[in-house]
Amino acid sequence: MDHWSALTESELATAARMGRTDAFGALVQRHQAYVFTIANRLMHDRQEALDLTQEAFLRAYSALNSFDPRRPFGPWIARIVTNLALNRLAVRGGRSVPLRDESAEAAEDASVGAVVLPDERTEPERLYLRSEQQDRVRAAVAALPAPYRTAIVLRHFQEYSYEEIAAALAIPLSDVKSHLFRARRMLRARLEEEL
Amino acid sequence: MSHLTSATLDAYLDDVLSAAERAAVATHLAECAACRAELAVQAALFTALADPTLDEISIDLRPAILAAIAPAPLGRRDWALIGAQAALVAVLALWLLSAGRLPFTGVVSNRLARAADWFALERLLAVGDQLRAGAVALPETLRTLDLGVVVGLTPLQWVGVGGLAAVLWLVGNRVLLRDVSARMQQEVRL
Repeated sequence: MDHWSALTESELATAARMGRTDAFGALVQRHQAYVFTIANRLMHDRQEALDLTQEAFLRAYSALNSFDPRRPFGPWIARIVTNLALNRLAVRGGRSVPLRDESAEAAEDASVGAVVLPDERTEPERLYLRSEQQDRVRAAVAALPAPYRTAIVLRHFQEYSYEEIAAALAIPLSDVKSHLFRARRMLRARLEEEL
Repeated sequence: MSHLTSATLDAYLDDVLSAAERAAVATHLAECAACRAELAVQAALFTALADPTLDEISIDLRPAILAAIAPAPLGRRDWALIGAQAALVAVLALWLLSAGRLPFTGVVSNRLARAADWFALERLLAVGDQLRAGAVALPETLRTLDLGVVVGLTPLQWVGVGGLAAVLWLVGNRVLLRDVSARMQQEVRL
């Protein structure tokens, strides 16, 4: 354990701004998994997510002078990687959205009135199933069209508001609502058994 | 009794309804088992989507990132630039100090004499003695040495040399800093 690990993020950011690259390395160590998770969930491609994670940290280092060390580093680097991922998705042409999804709408109708039964499984079994369920949920999210997936990740994993999503994706608020609504219907249709 | 729409339930869970709308939904939910069940299923989806578990990252990115932001060793051109800057500054400093143009020679002399004492204390007596002799004689040496006369430049030309040195210093540092900045932004292949 090096001495950087004992410092606060604010102290690390200040030291990094003064040219201590090893302090910046400590920030990378603390946040790389989080940044990678955001990139991976948005891009659904591990190699591309690794590239974006690295690029995000390099950009953050170049822009350290504009960062206020009194603020938390996590949300700042999260926003950088999110913007990078959104740019890449836009370049890739990920903004083509199917206008309607019949299967999701059918599933929506069928799901009204569903009843949630109490879970009587044992704890280890439940944990295993929970992990399995997480995998299925992630797979279902990954299978969404890129604009829907982006809206879902920004809303649920990064806890963006509707307005923040609209600004990040440069789309009207009404589109944010419809993206989220349709994405959730599609997920409901795919995950019916899980829920 | 008509049921709440899916959009309304989403908005309720997203907490984007007004206080009045929220109260109306809560009242309906209290009375409608079907909508409560639908809300529970949708809430389960929201919980699953908010899964805070981080994805496993296969490699540690620190070495690659640190390699990308590490200042690169200076190249031949960098050293040439720094050498030219240092030579110009040295010549200008000597010109200013010589012929009693600036009253700093006494201070410089004292500092050098103290350095000589340190050498003497460290038992480097020969070096110390020579340094002390040179330091004590420095003001007089500089007074007799007029670099302006030796090089043969008029005061105006010396001002020109000073200006050239300043430009070289600023431009040179800008070039050096630009190179460092470019290296910092360079990406490293994984």
